[in-house]
Amino acid sequence: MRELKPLTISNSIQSAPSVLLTPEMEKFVFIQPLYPDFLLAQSLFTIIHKHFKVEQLEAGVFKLKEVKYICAEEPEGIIQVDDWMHCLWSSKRKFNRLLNPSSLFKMFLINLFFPVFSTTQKLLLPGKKDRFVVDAYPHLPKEEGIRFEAVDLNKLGITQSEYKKLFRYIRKDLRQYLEEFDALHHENLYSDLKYQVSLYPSIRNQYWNELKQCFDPEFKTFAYAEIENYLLKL
Amino acid sequence: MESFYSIVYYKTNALTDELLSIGLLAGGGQGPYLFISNSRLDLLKKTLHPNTFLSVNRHLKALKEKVDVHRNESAGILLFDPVFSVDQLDALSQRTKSAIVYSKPTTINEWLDQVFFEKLTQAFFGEHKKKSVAKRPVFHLKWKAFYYSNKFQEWSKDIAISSVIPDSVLNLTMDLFNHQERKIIKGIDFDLGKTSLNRKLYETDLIVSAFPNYDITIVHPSPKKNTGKTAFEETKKKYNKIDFIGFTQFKNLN
Repeated sequence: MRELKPLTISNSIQSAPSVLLTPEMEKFVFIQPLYPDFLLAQSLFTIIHKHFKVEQLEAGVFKLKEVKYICAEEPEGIIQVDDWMHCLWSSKRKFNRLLNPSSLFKMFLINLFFPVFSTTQKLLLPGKKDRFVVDAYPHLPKEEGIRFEAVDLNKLGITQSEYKKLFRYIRKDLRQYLEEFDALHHENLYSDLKYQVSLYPSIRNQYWNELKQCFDPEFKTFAYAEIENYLLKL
Repeated sequence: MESFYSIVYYKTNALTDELLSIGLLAGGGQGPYLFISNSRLDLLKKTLHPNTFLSVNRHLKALKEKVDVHRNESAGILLFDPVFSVDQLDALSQRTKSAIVYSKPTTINEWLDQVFFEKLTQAFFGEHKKKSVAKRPVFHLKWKAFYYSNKFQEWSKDIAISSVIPDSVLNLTMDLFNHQERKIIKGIDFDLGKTSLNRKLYETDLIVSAFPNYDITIVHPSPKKNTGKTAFEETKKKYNKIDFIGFTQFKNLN
């Protein structure tokens, strides 16, 4: 996460600092004050998404009046992915204007295999072809770290008819994406994450206890079976 | 179900902290209806990156289609309208914090139908929906689509005179050319502007002089304008060797 240098900081109508403009004219929105827990959660979040090659918005830190804030990049016209917008893929012709539906599938797989960040915001970046990206930071409950909580597909929302319709267009390729994901879910990632957690001695035990459950073979089998079952029914 | 409306905003820029209202979504009654203000979209078009605007426009169009489909489908079951209910819109307005924002639904004390919705949008945006004028397709596009169809597989299409007569330097193309049957077909719309029509007639002149032993046919739509009618009569008189045939008739023959 890079340290941001502000060109200017604008205030919202409620006169709270809201947007930071860097000298390169990038806009970063103030999210929340940073606490060490969050810093670790953020780096784990980034490592996992980077490892599975899912594009992520950039995050930055900035110190304002002795308080460190986390800021997230906000490109023009970005929108949240929601079942409401299923009209964007209601026909094959419209679906073809999405650049990387496979990325959305990978995001769901990460949610399923690493259920430690309570929610992840999936976003759609507008362009000639709209592309899916994941938000810059994990949305954690206030003042809480990561917590392992196995989720089923219903809770993830992937079984909603809107998403099913989207994935049905690429039904043939989904198995391959799953296999690629499974191949990448290996020991190196385990050691990378473990090393990252070890950098924060005060909370490392708590974090590692939560995180290592994702690598539990039983859990992996469960998650794999869940998604296999989903693909069969699709 | 009670009628309600929700304003659709677009967050133009995080720095200026502003929202531009671009549309109105109303549910209940005979709804749902969605109105997208074209003049406000024009404003957006001037300020957004072209690709972003393309995407936003696409999004809104898809949304409008969704609403329209829903309205037509639910005509039979008016009481059952789960997608566009107050609760749904309320939830939606809370979770969308991104570029396209929906305001909290507000109740309307009136039965919602097409006429009332138009009045409502007029009150919000001061803009009438323009009635679209049905455009007549242009002759030369229809003609080109026709002669490129499978019906003329044995003919050469858009072939230059110079490629048929090696000595010739003429680069102009003939629409349909059949060497074996010695036939040439060309399409001319006599309602064209003066310069374009003169150019077409000059081309015809050149073709006639270059291929004296060929049957030449001119396919044309029936002229509508007075200038077109006179030009057509004059040309017909001038070239008595050429066949003139109406486009509809020509289509029926082939």
